[in-house]
Amino acid sequence: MTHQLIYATDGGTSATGSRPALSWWYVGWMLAGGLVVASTGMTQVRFNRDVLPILSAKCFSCHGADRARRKANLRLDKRDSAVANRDGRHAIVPGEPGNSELVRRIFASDRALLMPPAEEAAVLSAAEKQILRMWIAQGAVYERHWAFQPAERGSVPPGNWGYNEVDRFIAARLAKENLSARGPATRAQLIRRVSFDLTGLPPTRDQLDAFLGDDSPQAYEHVVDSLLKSPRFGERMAMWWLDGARYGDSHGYDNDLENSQWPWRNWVIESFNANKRFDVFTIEQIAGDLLPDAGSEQILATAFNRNHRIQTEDGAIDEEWRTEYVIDRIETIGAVWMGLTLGCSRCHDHKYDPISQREFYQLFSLFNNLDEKGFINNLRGSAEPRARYQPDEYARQLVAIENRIEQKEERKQAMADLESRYPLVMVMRDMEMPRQAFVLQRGRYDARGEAVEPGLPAALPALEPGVPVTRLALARWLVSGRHPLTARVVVNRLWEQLFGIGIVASSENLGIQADWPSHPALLDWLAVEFVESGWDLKGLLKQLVMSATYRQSHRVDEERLLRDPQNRLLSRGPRVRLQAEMVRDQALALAGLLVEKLGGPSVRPYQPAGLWEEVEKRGTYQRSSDTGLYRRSLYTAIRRTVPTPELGLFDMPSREVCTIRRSRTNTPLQALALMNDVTYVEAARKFAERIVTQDATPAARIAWAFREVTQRYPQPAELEVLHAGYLRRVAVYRRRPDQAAAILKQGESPLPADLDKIELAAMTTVASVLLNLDEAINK
Amino acid sequence: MKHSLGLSTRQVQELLQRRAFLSTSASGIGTIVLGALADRVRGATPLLARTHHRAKAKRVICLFQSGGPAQCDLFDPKPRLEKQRGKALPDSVRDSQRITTMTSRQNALLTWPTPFRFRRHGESGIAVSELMPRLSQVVDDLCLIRSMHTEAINHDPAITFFQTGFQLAGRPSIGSWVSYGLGALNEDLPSYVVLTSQGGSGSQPLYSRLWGSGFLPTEHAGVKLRNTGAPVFYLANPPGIDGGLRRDMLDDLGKLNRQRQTVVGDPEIAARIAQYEMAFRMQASVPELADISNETAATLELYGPDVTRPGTFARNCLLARRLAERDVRFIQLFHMGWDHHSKIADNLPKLCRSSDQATAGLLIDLKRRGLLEDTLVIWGGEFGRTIYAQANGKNAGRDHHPYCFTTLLAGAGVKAGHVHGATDDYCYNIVEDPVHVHDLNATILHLLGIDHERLTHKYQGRDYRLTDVHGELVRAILN
Repeated sequence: MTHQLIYATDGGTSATGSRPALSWWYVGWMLAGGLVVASTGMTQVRFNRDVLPILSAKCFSCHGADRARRKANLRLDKRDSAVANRDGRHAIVPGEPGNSELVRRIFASDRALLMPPAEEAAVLSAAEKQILRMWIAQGAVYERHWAFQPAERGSVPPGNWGYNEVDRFIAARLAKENLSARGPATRAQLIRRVSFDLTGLPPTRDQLDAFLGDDSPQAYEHVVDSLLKSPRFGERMAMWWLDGARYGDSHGYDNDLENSQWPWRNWVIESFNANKRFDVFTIEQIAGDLLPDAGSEQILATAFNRNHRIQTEDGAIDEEWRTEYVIDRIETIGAVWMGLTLGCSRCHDHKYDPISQREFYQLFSLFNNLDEKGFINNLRGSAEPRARYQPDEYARQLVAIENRIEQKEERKQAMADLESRYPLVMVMRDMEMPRQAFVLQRGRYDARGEAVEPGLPAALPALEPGVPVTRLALARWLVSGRHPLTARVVVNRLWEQLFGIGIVASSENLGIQADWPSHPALLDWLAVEFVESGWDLKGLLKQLVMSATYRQSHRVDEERLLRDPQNRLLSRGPRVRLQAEMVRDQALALAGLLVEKLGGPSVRPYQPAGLWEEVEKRGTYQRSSDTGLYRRSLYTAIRRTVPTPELGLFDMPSREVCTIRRSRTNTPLQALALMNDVTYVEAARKFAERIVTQDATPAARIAWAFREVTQRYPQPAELEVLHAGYLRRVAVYRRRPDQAAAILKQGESPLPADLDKIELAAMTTVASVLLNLDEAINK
Repeated sequence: MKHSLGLSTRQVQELLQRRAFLSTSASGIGTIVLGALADRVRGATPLLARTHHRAKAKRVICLFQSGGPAQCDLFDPKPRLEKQRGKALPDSVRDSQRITTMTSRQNALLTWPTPFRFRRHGESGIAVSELMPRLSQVVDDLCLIRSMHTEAINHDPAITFFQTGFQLAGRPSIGSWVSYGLGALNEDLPSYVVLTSQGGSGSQPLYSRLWGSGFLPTEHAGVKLRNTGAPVFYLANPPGIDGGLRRDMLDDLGKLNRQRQTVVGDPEIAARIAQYEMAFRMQASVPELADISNETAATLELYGPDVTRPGTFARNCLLARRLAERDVRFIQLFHMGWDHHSKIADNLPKLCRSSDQATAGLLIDLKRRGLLEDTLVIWGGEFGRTIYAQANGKNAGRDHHPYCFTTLLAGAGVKAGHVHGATDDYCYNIVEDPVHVHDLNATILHLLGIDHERLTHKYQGRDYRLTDVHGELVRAILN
């Protein structure tokens, strides 16, 4: 087992803490086989991969970039400081671990000399000490953090497995590990996977049959192309984008009343559907208002930076919260586009990444110039600055109302309707005179330090000479192609969407503390491709889903499970639980209830009664009366302080702050929701209607239903279980027709009069079992 | 929540049989892979294999009094302050510290000593307000920290800070840290349970984030027991599906999932099967927990008359005891209504009536059952209230006060009949042994056997912990 694999299998075990695990891997490697390998000259310690994670986690907090916390004026993040002569001693003497103070101190048995100090929580493992010693012995070579260096296309590894370049990188790595790729997934498995990944919905029966019946070599490509063209694509991509954009439908504090930001969600969906170039998509959201000839759509796009929560609790200090919003914007942009935790520099220089506190407030100054309030008691709707959604259409209809409707009450109602269809949306609009920004000491709104002017972090590429630093310049800089992070971050996050785990497992952070990439060269190659393609999102996604890597079977065997437990090497196809929205949307689709309407205001589907009342001041939940019960889940209104439990149980974030990576849990509360929530009981009932109206025997109907859910026909043993269960429960309901009637009353949708209630109730239980299958909630 | 150990043991046994394959890898790595894989199969194993030190408390009951009870009217007497009644608060006392915009707009900040009487009680002779007659009787079991202080002055950031160690949303709550670190003791119930109650009208709202898991896996989020309907979301079978049918359906589901696992080989399927079985067990264990029909009249009497009504603080206290008996790790109550900006003379006694007897009753009940020895009970709010009046006359109330307040502790590992810390003559600033919220949280974790500096989770490249980079253990209150 080689070093690379050790890293790969370790990465991303964040739930159990990756650092302790890392040290164990190292112990195993170093003490058992690694040193032998090293002595044969096959192993070179690499700074970025091996050394930096140790220094960063254990040393930099006192010997890093943060001036205020630095001890002994020693920096270990800079080579000149590390090797400098300090009264005849050197922290590091390259090539001479024996003469290096660092080595002496980390191995010290005297507690007074030991580093990290005994009273600190940081402790170096035996393996980590060995690595530091080896690194110094090998010359203490520093490398710049990989993600701050420009991505290079590099060369595609040779090979002949697969369909495109992605596969060469994957195959080369697998070969190195003596693992092999899996054979292709069945067509049924594949169309399920790609349909969920590109549209968030299962394939329809027609799509499945067409794919199975298409013998042409382009059959799969046709599927992919049609999914990318589907309007459902934009909705699926919006599910992804809205987490990072912390999109919600309420203000998020105190009594948490509704906002009216939903038109921005429309903009996102439409942009993805139109395959708007990602660079334009970026510029419009960050600085659409500053574009020459900015139209209403470009201004609407900037609502991205107004999706933060707004403080509505009496007694709050306006400036304190206004400051929080500016900081929230920087943190969110840092996470979404740069994979950096810029917020760490709010109070002090960043402990790991080269972002100083001063630079943080230089960025701050670009988002600090709105004529906005920090605190608005009982805010409902939008706060200034704001802009009308579709102003032309609004004006046209307004005139129509004024001209046509004379009766006062009627007119008032028409005006209210108009207002709700074309609301004012919170957007970015700078004041004529920008506010002077200051370094805020310890990040406090009222502790002003030195004044700062706009600027970009020095560790990242500079703007073209002569270009003033503005919000628009920042947006363009992010997508200039020269920024080392943006394309890597986006490619990595989309990879994560498809494969369940990023090439960099810590997709929310590509800074110095990031996990080491499983396939660094592939990440860079994809990033360069993405930029050179003209930031073509659909093109990138197509490239990924067309790969043989993606099209592998997801079956696991012992060897793969042991040697590639998280599938970071891609030794099989991805098998990942559906995300929250998809779980519900699939059930609605199978039930025939799903209303495929694009965009519009948020809706209020079923929610347990009394949820709002129990936490005070939230009023009473007014459930949508009509199609609102059956829209896709991304349209479900998000009240941030009392989220609908059903989506949250499946790990949908509360959208209070930017979330880049959702957790993916497996809990009994999920089981309870899928079994008992009226959403799923009604879905089972309506799905059962579709089943029992199939012109066939009960067994054949069940086989049909099984295929509707899983895209495959059941094995005889599977069908036997379901069919026997159906017959048993028919018998139960015959004895208890009241029970049959009760289950058929669940949900608002009507019950057809002409169906046999007993059969329908029993089939509802079968449908419920199908919706609860592990296979049904995995892609 | 922990998964069925029966399952994971079997999984581990299967894995152990593969050691023949692993032994060829010529190092200890195989064993480590095996361990990691076994963890994965088991899913949410606790982070800590064992506690950092011997735990004094097996579980915590936190009786959060949301809104900020007035320490100067309840637990921190200032008999000498009477002379200053109606006089302006000296600037030297406020010392330009921040106050909220609700009273900073007032013309004057007039000192308003408590209108309620304090008396000494018990062997310890600790003085407690007449508004808390029942707590007064158990004062020898209490540890009063009179020197609590916090950083936030408005409810949302202050209560978020208390629960998560950070004023803004996004961090895990203390109960989820405990669940994450220690896992569950009872496999049929969640390890972190939340109950809420209303103490009066016009309460401050609560937010899901207060028991959320932040960046920890969502399975560590608190499970809120509901006051109406099924105690846990979606717990009850729908009408038309009784327990027998549910079992029948689950048996079918289990068979199908197991068949699928033999084909696909994904251990996640085994975990899913276990979750469905736990869900089924919860369908029995949770209603049993919420069913108080077998409680004796004597026990009910301890908690006061409200106990018969679901959703009251008294009922929730009784449920807290039942949860403690069932070894739920972190039991979090929120009692709303302490935000007394106005009419404190009317409203405070009302709130105290809803909280006093139930809290005292819970302590007595726990003690009688021997549970107080290894249960830590906490009573307190997100901040205190000002000694100066907000408005005046009959309408007088008190504003938010983060610079000192009182938190009560009782039970496992904590000194009984003890007062820690002291405030100045105006009940405004701390003059002795300040205890910051981070210190309290560090101490709670300590009593559970956790070193707060070593319970960490890596997120966004940084090791986060409940106490951020702060927190000092309050040794002086420990036994």
